[in-house]
Amino acid sequence: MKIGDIPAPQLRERLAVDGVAFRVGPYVTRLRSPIARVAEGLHLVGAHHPLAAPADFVDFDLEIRPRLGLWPPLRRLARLFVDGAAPFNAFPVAQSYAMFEWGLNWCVATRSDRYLLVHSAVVEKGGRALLLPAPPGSGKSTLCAALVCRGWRLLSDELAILRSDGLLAPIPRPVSLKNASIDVIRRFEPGAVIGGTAHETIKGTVAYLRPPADSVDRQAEPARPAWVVFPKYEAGAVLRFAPHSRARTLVFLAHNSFNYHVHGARGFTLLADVLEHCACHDLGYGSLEDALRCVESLASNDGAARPATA
Amino acid sequence: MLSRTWDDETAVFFEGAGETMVVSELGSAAIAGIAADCADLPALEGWCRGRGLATADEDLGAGLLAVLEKLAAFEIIEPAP
Repeated sequence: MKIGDIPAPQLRERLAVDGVAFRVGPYVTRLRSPIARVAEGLHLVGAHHPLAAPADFVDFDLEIRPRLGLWPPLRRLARLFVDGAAPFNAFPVAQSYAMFEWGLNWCVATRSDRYLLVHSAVVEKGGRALLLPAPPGSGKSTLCAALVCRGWRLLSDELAILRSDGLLAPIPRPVSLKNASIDVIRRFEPGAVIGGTAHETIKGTVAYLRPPADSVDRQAEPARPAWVVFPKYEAGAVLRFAPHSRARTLVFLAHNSFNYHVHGARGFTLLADVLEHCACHDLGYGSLEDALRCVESLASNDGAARPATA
Repeated sequence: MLSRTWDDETAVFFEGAGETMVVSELGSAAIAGIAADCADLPALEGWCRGRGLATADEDLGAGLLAVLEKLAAFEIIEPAP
């Protein structure tokens, strides 16, 4: 049974009372909240995620509670609890669903040391995965969302979860769209399901794109990394696609990992082994369509990366 | 120290400092030479020439000194007292 199979009023009631446990990639999350926005967001953009079995171990226990004791004209606030503790400040209740997504990111990033976690979007086609690591503002999530709308399988818009066997574990959560990219994706794919918009968050205006059913249905199926592409959107820029050195790619991934310091030498060797079989490129673009054509041609012509010469 | 070389660049992981960085071909050779007990600059030059990094009449000293200074700045090597 999936979250979307539960009628919205029942989902809201279950969230408010016992919580709802569901599986996202290798993790089971239980969410509790009486806040309507949380239920609406989960029902819409989390619709394809399967409910966990009653005996499943819950990895992350999250609860979002309205903050009590406030009085108008103060804004209504809420607070996120993780395993009973509140690691973050209170936030406007209108941002509750975004806060749940960020809270879950935080859980994965801080509590999953059996994997090497790198800040990167990951999509897959034909059994080969494309990593899109980039700093905020580079257009990573927008390009990721557009690729997913064009049939690439979503592994994550935020976290590359690298297993010790060199494969990437999917965690196909809703894609975070920020500011102008929300309308970019609405125009790009009018049929895309995008949840309610949260304004004035620490990241500006945020909305979430529902991951395709196929990506969620295949969330237990890992993918082999084949390409690393560093996207950089710049308004009006002409397309630029150039090789990026593997050594510099390794250092970038290491420095953009959440837990490389935990893995140490093992993490270095894992990244180096993965990059032996990856082609690495810079992609500068001013047109989303140009970027998509470039990535599609990479996937259809490149024949995956050849093993590197040592 | 762990390293992986692609083309003319080497990614290096220094276990002592916990640093990961890119070093040039010369830097990589210098680190390997130090690890192989090259105790002074002439010995290190000889080590690097032995790996085909310069011909006999090319001056390697200035390049090596610059590399050693950078490695010391990152506390990857420590100058002998």
